[in-house]
Amino acid sequence: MDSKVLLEAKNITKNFGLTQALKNVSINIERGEIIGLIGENGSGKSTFSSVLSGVYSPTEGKMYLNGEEYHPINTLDAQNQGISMIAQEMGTLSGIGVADNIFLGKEEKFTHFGIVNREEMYEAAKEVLIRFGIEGINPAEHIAKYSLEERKLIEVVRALYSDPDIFIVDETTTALSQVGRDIIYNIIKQIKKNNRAVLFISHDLDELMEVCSKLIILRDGVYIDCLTEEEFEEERIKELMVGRKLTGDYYRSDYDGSFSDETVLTAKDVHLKNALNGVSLTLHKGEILGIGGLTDCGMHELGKVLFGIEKPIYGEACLGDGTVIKSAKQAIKNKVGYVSKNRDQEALILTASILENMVLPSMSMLKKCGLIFKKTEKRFAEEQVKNLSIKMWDITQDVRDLSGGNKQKVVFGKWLANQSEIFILDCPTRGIDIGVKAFMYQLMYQLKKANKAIIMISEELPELIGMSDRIMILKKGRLQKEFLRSEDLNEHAIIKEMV
Amino acid sequence: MEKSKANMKAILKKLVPFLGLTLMIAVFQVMSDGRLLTKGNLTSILNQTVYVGIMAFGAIFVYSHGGMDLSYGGVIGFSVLISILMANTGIPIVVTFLVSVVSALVWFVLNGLVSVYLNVSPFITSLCIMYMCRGILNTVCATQKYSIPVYMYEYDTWIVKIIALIMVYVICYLLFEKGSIGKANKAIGGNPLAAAQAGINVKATRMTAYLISGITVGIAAFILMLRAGSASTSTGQGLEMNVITALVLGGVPLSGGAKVKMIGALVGSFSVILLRNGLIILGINERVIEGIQGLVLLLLVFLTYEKNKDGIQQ
Repeated sequence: MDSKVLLEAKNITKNFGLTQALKNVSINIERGEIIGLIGENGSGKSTFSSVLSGVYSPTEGKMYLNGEEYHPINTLDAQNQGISMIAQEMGTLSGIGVADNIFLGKEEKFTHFGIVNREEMYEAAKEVLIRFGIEGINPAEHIAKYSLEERKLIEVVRALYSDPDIFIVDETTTALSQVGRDIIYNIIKQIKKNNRAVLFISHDLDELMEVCSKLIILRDGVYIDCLTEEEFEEERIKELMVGRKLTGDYYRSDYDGSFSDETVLTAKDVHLKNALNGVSLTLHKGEILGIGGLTDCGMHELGKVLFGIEKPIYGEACLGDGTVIKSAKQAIKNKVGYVSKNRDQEALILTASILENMVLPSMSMLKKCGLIFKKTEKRFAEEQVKNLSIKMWDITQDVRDLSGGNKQKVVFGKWLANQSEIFILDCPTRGIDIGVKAFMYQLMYQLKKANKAIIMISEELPELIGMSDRIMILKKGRLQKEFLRSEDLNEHAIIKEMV
Repeated sequence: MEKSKANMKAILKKLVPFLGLTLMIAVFQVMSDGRLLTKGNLTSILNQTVYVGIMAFGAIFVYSHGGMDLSYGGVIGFSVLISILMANTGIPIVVTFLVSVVSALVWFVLNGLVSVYLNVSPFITSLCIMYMCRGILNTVCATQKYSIPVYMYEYDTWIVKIIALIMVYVICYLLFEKGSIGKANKAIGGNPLAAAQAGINVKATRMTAYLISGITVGIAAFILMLRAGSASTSTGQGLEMNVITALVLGGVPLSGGAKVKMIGALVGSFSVILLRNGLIILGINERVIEGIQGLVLLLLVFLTYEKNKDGIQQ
C-alpha cells in the first residue's frame, strides 16, 4: 500500500501576513490518481498547489515525496524533483522562440562549449510536441506568432517534457477551447496510465467530475472531505464547498422573456479591425441581452465599443436618444456601467482601497463645492458594501487582499453606486465561486426587474441560457443567430451556431 | 483580531515619516550639543524648506500618477534668471512673480506635452529639460552674475515664506486629497486601464499634473530669487535630488498610486533639509553630504518600493 503513495503533505499551514490561506491541510497523492481540488475562491486550492510546486514554502508542515522529505526552493527545483505545474496566470515569455520557452532554464542540455546548439534544441522540442499530440507549432518560430491557446499548450509541454511524477493543472482549461481541452484530457489520461498522478484544479465542476478519480474539497483553507468517483454528486459537492445547503434556484426560474419597447442602447453596423465586421444590436429597458460565441468572435470587443473605450472604424454605438458614445467618460455620464472581463488588469486598482475603487466613477456626483469629503465617500461606499455583503475587515483595506468573488462585488458596486441604468457585463462570473455566482445572478435579475438594461457577454452557455431574455451568437465578427428565451433552448443548438 | 492588527500596521506605516523626522531632530540636537534648535539655525532650515516644500507639493501630482521628474533644479534656475532679468527692467513685483510662474510653467508644458502626448519616458524628457535649462544658465551667467533690484530684499522675510508655504500647501492639499484631479492622478498611478474605464481622461489628467507642478516650481522660484538675490550658473543645482528625497522621506511611494499622501511632501521636505542641515552643523563637508543623501535615498527606495518576489518593480 505505502509504496503507492507518491506525495504526502502533512499539516500544511500557509500564512500571508495576517491571512491564513491554509490551515493544517493533510493530503496524500497516490500513483495513478487524478485528483481534483475544488473549493470556492479563497478556499486555498491555488495556495496549496503553489506550495506543492515550489512557488511558496509552507509556514508550517512537511511534505514527503516518494518517502523522502520534500521542500522545493522554487518551481525549477520542484520540476527537477518531479512536480510540475501550469498555472492560470503564468505564461510564456514573449520575446523568445517556442523551443526556448519549452527548455527555459534547461539550456545546458544543449550547450556544448558554452554555445547552445539550436538545431538540437529544435529537434528535441519537435519530438515532445509530437509526443503530446500537439500539431501545427514550429519550435523555431517566435512565440508571438501563436495564439493564446497555442501558447498555453506550449506551457503544458514545458511542464511535462521532463515526465514529472505529479502534474498540477491550475485553472488552465478556462483559457482553452474544446480542442485544447481535449489535448489536456488526453495528456492527463496518459499520465494516469503511466502510473503517475495529476492534481487538477478547476472551477468547472462538470469537468472535474468527468476527468478525476477523486475530489478533494477545501473550504476557507481547511480540508473538508475527499470523495471517490462513486460518491460524485453535484449537489453534495456544492454543499461541501459552500458549507451550507444552496437554497433557491441558481439561475432565474421564469421563462418570461419580455421587456419594454424602450430602446436604451444601440450598435449600428459596427466594424472594428480584426474583430467586428458589421454588428448591429438594440438593447431595451428591462432586458438581459446575452451575447455569446467563441472567445475570438468579437463579443468582448463589442462590449468595449458600446462603452466607448474602443473606437469603431465604421458604424457607431448610440444611446437610446441617438447620442453617439465616444468615450467612457461620456458613457458613464449617461449611466452606462462596464464590467471588464479582465478584472484585476482593467476593472480594479488593486493597490487602492475598497472605498477608493468604489467612488472612482462617481466623483462628480459626490462633489460639494468642488470638493469630495471623506465622510461623503465613506457613506457612499459603505452602502454598497452592505448591499453586496462584501467580506472585508475595513473599507480602507486594499482590494488586492480580497478574494475573487469579493473583488467582483466591488466592481459591481462601482456601477450600482453610480446608479447606472445600462450594464455591460463582460464575463461577469469569470473565476468566481458558486456562492457569489448565485448572488450575481440574483442581482442581475433584480436589476432587470427594476427596469435596468443589461448586456451580458459570456463564454459560458449555461449562464447565457439561464439568464438571458435574448441571446445573440456572434461568429467571426458577425451576428450569426439570435435566440429568444425559452424552456426548450439547449446548449447543442447554440454550439452549432458558434463553431 | 486580524482587523485590529492590520489597522495597527497601517497606522504605524503612516507614522514612520513623522517618527523619522522626530528621531532626526533628537539625534542631531544631542550630537550637535543643542546647535540644531537655535533661532538662527531654525530660520535657515525654514528658508530652504520653503522652496523645496512648495516644489514637492506640486511634484506629488506628477509622482502620484507614476511619473518621474528630474527637471526641478534646472527649471527653477531658469525661472530665477528670467525673473531677475525682468525685475531689473523696473516692472512691479507682482508682475515679476507672474514672470516666475510663467517661465517655469512653459517648461512644464513642454515636459507634459512630450511625456504625455508624445509618449516619451518622463524620466528622459525631464532629464533633457534639466540639461537645456542648465545650458541656458551656464551660457547667460558665464561671465556675469545677475542680482535683484535692492528694494526686493525687504520681501525676504519669514512671514512671507510661512504664508506662502501654508497657502500653497492648503491649495495643493485640497486639490489632491479632496479634489477629483488628485484622486484621478492616484487612480492612474494605481492602474491606468482601470482609471480609463472609470471615465478618467488619462492624458488630460496627467497633463494637468504637470501644469500644477509647473506653477508650484514658479512660486518656489520667486521665493528662491528673493532669498538668493542673484542668479548664477549654480542656481538651483541639485534641487531635483532634494525634492525626490523629500518625497521618499515623507513616505511617498515613487511608484505612485493611492498610497501617495500630500502630508508626506510636507514632512519629507522638512526631513531632507533637516538631514542636510544637521550634517552640516556636525561639520561634515557639503560634498560628502551629497553622497550620504544619495545613499539614504537609495536605501529608503529599496525599503519602500513595491516589489514582487524577484525584486522586480511591478
